[in-house]
Amino acid sequence: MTGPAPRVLPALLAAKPGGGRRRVARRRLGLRSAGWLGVLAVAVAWQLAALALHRPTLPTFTTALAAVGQVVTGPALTADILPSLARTLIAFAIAGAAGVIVGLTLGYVRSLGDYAVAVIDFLRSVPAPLLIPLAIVLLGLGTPMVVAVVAAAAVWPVLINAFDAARRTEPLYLDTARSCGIRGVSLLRIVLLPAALPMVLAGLRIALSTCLAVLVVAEMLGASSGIGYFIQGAQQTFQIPQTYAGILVLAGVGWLFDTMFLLAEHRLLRWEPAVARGRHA
Amino acid sequence: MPEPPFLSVVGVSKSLTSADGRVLPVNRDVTLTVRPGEFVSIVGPSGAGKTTLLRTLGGLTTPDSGTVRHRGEPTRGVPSWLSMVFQEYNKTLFPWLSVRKNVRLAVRHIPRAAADLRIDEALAQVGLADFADHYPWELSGGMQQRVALARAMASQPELLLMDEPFASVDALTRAKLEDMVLALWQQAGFAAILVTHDIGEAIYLSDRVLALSGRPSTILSEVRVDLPRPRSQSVTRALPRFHELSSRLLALVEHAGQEGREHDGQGRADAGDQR
Repeated sequence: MTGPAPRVLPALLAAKPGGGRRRVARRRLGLRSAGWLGVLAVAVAWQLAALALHRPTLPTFTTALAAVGQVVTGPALTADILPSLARTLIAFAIAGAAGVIVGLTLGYVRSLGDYAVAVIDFLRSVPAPLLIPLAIVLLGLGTPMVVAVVAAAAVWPVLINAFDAARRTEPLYLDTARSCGIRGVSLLRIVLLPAALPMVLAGLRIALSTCLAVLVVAEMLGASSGIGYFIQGAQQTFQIPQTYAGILVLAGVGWLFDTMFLLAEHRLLRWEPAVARGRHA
Repeated sequence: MPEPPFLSVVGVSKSLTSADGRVLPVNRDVTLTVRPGEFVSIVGPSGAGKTTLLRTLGGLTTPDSGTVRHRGEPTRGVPSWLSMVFQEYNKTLFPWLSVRKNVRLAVRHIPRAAADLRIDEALAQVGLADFADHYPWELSGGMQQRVALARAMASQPELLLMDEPFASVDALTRAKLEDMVLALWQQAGFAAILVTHDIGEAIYLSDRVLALSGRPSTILSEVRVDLPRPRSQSVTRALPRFHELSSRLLALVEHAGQEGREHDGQGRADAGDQR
């Protein structure tokens, strides 16, 4: 039996080899020269403003950068930076797993989801820092409290995106899965999660930045280590360059996380036509 | 006692509830039988509930009343002895799975080595052996529908249910797909039920064509297709008999479109004893 001749668009096949993928990855990493020029311009402006104003509350960019060097090579690395990284990753993992599983399940089981909507909307309206006093009462000071608060804040963007995506799963995907006898956890793994993945990843990316924002607040109020604790300590002991350095370190951590996240996202979504063709924003 | 029929559908009625809560009767008292290895098409005016009927047969919905029996046994859930092919191939192939992995979904229950053999065989049958590692969206529409066909074949079904499987491809591809289905059918010996609004296609492929009334639909009548096999697009479609059957069915369907709503659901098609 001879079928119709393959009519594959050459452009699609051309997008397969690694060259295009690498180019895309590089662009998504923000390594374009224009991006670096922007960063440089801000650094220069900071430097000039600090030199012109000459205030003790505004060190020069180079002074702050030197302080960053001291901080990341000094005792603060193991005492504060690494604990913050660990807390963020643990809380992110908890929030991500819980958000995906609960969100997809509530989205797929429509009747259950109808009950859950009001509860979800109520709970996510609670600003996370408001939970810190309660969390301190329940869990005491320290890492478990910080992780709990951060995870409680970060779970919502994941859960809501997973919920919406599961609700909007293409009905024919579900029919097809059923006619192939795919049910239960298999359905979640083979169909619901991959179909929801673009939206889930968007939610996870927001969750990651939420993690860092809530982390520092929780560390300032209820921990004796971490970048938030460090920044607060530096400020209270009038170590102004260190205070700036803490902020820069946190910004660097945020940038690093986001960059790693985008790389992972690109890898996970490489089946998406838009990603494979290199048009993904 | 006579052997129970391969597939018997008795008095199946189904209503659907629309988004605003209105109950819409879709199928009313549908009765039909299918013999093993028989090719049956169901034609009817658009909106007659052809897809709903097929979904009921495939176990994707349960009828409000009536029974579907396979060799005398009432069917429950989605039976493992049938496969389905839908119109919208781009929504039934999972874009995150390669062609091979899409086909594998149909043979998840059998051991890996045996499954691999079935997958290779099914892809070869539809002429896509070289495209196993491509993603579906890298293929043309006709090729994607062949992947769906390969997936349906891989589970070696006794019955293939097809819901307008060729409606979304161009005419030339469509003719080739029809011939591919015929070849597979002749080779593998499964029974087939094809839902289509294309009367020519129904006649070209089938042993028997059932005409459905307008909604709520029931089977108005059946037309036996006594055209010789093997069939070919150029020869079969040029036969005078082809045009006779075609006109008869067209008249039936047009009539159904006008008067379907007044129909009281007495229509029956029980091909088993009308040979």
